Amino acid sequence: MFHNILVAVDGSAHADRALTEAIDLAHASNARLTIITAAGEPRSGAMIALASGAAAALGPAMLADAERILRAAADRVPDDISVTTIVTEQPIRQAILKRIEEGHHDVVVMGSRGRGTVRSAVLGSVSHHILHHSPVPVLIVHEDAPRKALDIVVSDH
Amino acid sequence: MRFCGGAIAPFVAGKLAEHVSVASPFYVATVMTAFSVVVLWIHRDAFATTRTIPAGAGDAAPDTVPAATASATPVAAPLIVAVGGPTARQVSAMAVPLARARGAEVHVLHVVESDVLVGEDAAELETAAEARALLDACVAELRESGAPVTGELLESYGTHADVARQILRRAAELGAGAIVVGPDSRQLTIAAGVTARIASHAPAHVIVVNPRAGAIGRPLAGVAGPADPATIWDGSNPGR
Repeated sequence: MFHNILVAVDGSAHADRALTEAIDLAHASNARLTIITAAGEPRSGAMIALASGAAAALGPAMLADAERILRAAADRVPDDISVTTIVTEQPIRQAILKRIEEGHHDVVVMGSRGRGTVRSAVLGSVSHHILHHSPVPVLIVHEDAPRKALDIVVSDH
Repeated sequence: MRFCGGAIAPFVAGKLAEHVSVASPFYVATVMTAFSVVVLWIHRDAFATTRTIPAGAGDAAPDTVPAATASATPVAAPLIVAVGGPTARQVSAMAVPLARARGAEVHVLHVVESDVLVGEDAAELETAAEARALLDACVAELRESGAPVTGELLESYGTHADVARQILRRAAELGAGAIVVGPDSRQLTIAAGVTARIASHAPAHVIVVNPRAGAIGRPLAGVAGPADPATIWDGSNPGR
């Protein structure tokens, strides 16, 4: 059903689950997988800096952090899946929307929660933005959902 | 309670102003208002009442699996398609390939809002007949998939947020495998919209399809926009 999957990760457990589901989907439908993450949080105010704690770190540290997250994510992908990784220094929302268009993705997989204590209480603001602006279907993966997304979005019957 | 407060407030305000400071009644009022908001929030469920209207006999597919058996048969987890607003039919059309691929039961939910709090808005709300017509159109759209489709109208009272609550409640009852929703029909800045609430609190994975996003200014290469939404799923993509 899908050929070109985009998954956004941020190092959180929710993003990890999203990645797991994305890998499953890619495996079942023989799809390409692209993993995207942003270096640095969107600098839109003190609330976010407070919420994510670690966001006080400066640019290079953020980039290193993002690359570490991305490497960890890519390591989880089995060898038989074609995987692309992207670190962006743009705000993640714009970066994802731009990537959907340029990369001809046919689905975006995201976690249901953001990173950090405050933001994890609500739908991640990034997910929220994407689901309202994405031209392709957005799969919001729920950590506590009993079934795997693959069982729901079966590729070939 | 309210009238007791009203009875003692003038007296207390006078005493406070006299003995503490002129501004103090206002501070006390601020604190009490904030406190009342907390109390209302904690007991918000007390304000929601629910009623389920069963779908008309002619609409329901006769051979669908009863919802009560959902826990016993994990393979038959239904696909929930929550429809509403101007994009309802397009959302249904976009869910067709998904429904076809799964083959399992599809349950279409539409919530009829009765806004008892805002009287002036009453005229804008949907009539039962309109809601029925919308649901029927969406059910017809999804029947294209060949999967058994059931339509159901739910009712919500009070706030817009109750719409999301009704859908989530029903989805949980049905043992939903996944929930398909369209974009939020209202532009809400502070309060989360229905879609955001569903995406946030669902007991299952949520697939958000946005028929209008293409038209809003992010056209995707190879996709003709709302005119042919189903092609998004069909592997018309050059990648691979």
